[in-house]
Amino acid sequence: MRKVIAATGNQAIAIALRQIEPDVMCAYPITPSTQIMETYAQYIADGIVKTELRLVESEHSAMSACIGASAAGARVVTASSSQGIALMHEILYIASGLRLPIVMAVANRALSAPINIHGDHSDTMGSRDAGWIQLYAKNAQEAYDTIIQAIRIAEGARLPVMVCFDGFTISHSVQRIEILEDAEVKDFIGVYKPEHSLLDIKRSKTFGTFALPNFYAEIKYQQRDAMRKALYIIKDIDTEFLNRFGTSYGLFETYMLEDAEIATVVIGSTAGTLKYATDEMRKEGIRAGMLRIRAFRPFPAKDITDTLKHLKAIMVLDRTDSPGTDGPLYQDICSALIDMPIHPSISNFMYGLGGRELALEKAKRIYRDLADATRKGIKVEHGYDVRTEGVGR
Amino acid sequence: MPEKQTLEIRWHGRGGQGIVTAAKMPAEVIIKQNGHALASQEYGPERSGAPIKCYTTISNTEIKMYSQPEHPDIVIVVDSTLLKTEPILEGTNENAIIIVNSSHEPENIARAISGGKRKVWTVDATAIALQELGKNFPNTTLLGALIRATELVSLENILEKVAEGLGKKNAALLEGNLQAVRRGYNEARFYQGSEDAVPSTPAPPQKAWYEIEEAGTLPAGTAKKYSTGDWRITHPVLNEQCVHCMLCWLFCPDNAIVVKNEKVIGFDPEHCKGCGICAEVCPPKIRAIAMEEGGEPCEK
Ligand code: SF4
Ligand code: SF4
Repeated sequence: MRKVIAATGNQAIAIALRQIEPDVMCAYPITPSTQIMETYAQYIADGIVKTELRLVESEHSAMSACIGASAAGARVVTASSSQGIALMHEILYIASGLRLPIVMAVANRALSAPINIHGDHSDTMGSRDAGWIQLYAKNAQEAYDTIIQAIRIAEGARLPVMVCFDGFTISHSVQRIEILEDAEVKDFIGVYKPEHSLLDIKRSKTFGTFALPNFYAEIKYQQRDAMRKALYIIKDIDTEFLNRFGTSYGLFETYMLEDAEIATVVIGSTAGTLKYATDEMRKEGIRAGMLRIRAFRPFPAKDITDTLKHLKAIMVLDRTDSPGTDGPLYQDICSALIDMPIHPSISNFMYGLGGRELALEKAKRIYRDLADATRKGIKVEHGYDVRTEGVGR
Repeated sequence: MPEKQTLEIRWHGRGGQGIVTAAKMPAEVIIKQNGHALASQEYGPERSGAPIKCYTTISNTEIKMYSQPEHPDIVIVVDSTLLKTEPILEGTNENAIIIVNSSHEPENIARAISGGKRKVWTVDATAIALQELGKNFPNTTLLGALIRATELVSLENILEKVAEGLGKKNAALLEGNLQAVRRGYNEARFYQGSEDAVPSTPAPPQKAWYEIEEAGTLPAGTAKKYSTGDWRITHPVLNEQCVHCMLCWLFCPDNAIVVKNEKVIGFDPEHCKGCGICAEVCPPKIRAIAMEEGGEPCEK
């Protein structure tokens, strides 16, 4: 039974974590995900949960401590953002390389410099090759449900999972959320029984071995294979979640795509704005649609190809810059569609950097430009939400 | 120089035997003579006594490939104990020349490694080094043997390079090394290999990615199976002064100090790699462990 409450994204995550009650949490709080750890520390202080909370001196140490605890056989969760993700970058690869099912909530935030605390995807996009599963939620409800699913996904795939949601936009806004009962969550996640662990001294193992050129690639390939299989695990657990609790999210979400001619592809909370814009376009007779990526790693390329192949033109929205080349989502969409004999025209728009809003008018302009270009049979130029006209001299 | 355009040499030795320098030296001579050469090293556990490989490539045209040679023309085995543990014939064909630091006749070595099929040179570089340098640094002697086997450069040129490399700091050491090169050149012996000998057995296949333990997580205690005793080029000797303070036991990286009834009684020959840490940590006033040259089995 779901119960309606009002909570911010961070609070929703904290509630889910209370229901999950991991064995260990190691963290170094950072804006805008601070509230998660703050609220959780309160639960511990109040004796509501028995999690061992380790507050360390940096995110590098936080992830290192998570790895130690996870290798020891504990169910481990942490939270971070922005510079924190950047600082733990080195250790992220060790978590995935050791195949440890650590779950991390990430309130996405821009990277310095210039200093900025607001939401964009630069932080987690910077670690997209770190071998972590990355799931992006559109709102607080999805973040809540996803972090519960993530425990099962991580343990099933034996890969760490990041559950990402937009900093401030989602992490700090109070939303209507339907939470599950504690017992339902506990029952869904079950008890964690790792196959090997450091503390399993009867069947002791050596973790973190040395692999020279004759073994390294084979072990890396195992990770690649685990990522491929994770697509099915994410789907299966989502289906089980649907059967039990009536909600499902899939690998990605589509909106009005079946009969669409033009579409946007996006990650995160901006999907809401684009749905509004799609509705408006439809009123004007423009056959617009939208696709929102939920699973970015593993990237569901084949399913996406099948869903987008009938379109005439696509604008891929990236909320991070990759100076010197195009956005990461754009590149992945291009590579997914490249094998089609005829594929839609694909353009890239970089938006929302450092928390800049993509207002409805801008979203509508993206659709109108796509529609115009399609009518003329040309491709829309790549775009960047930046001021190109100043005050003049 | 043989007719082949490119000559590739692979060196098998142990950390601390100076093989990196040995692999570089001919390359440096060739480059100095305005030729083309490349010397590289395979990096791994860079510890004293651990098996390592180095490569020297020499060519009469520009070298564009920086990867390690897969099919060397010459294999030099600096430490003959590696004949048993390392795949020294890997990637070579019948024409390859194998140069081994050994007191044995080349034919015996050829029998042992290839049933007598392969072309082998031997030179007792360790004995020569001990006589000329007073230390087991066989590389300069082997360099002499290499020049003899290949006529890559003249003996005079390599002697000059050795002289330049060692400088004038230590006249005795320099003369010892020059003499070692000359003796390596003169005393190397050759065996032609026999056509009708049995071909060497191919390398056994390795595990595929899905057969390897996930994340390379191995059963605990694998170090026990790994015989680091093979690495030893010096060995510890225990004397009566020992007060059984257990410092050496605490510091030995391979758990090779053998203790019985709370007393140190010796060293585990399977695992003692001859690093000398035990001798170093033994209290200065006691000095109950001395390191001696050679990889002889240390006493239990
Ligand atoms: S450190 Fe020296 S004195 Fe102490 S136990 Fe070892 S050998 Fe004996
Ligand atoms: S030399 Fe001494 S410290 Fe080193 S491995 Fe042998 S016993 Fe251990």
